[in-house]
Amino acid sequence: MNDDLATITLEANGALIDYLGETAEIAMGPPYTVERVRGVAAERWPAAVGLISQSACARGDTLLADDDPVSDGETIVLVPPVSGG
Amino acid sequence: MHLTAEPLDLDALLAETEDETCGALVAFGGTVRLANAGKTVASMDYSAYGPLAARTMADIEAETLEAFDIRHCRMVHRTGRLVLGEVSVYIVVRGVHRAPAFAAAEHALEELKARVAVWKNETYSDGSQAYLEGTELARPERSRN
Repeated sequence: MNDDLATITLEANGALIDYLGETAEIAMGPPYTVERVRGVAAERWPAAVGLISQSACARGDTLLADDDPVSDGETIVLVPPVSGG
Repeated sequence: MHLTAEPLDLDALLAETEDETCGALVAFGGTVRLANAGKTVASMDYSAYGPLAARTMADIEAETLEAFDIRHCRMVHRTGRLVLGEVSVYIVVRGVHRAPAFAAAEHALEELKARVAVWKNETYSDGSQAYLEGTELARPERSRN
């Protein structure tokens, strides 16, 4: 196990569940940012790259900016394009 | 309460917003319809990311109250499997006069459709399913807290 790797749990929503399941784990090296989370997820699930690139990320009830930091062991929620109403 | 798996209760929203100073009441309900994109719809599954969806709905209510000359704005969205004709969303606006009440209700609905973390997965009469294309959320330059 590389000490530089952070383990992030991804929580999927909408059509992303068809690719990732409801939750999935990724291991990522630096930079430990939201943008990197999205990039690692796109590499792991290439069939969902379009949907992942269109997804916002959230922590709890807060939308995250691309350069927001992420920490080892935390959960990041993937929020694909919304279609409520 | 902004999200529920139970059938939506319009009477409760009307009671919650009752106000004798208001001369206008606008209530919008969205329902599951028979056809979409040339396919016959059998049912619709609504899923949501609750923490973000509820916060965004509260934000939209507050923003709508700020932007229009109205007294009340409430919205509630259903989750789970809905059959044809069932109500998926209610928007209730009350104001002194009708013009801002109509405008505010439309504004609130459009904002909900563009910003609230809810997804539709349609089941068609042939048994196939498809998530509906949606609107990509604007990503903040800095996380909002």
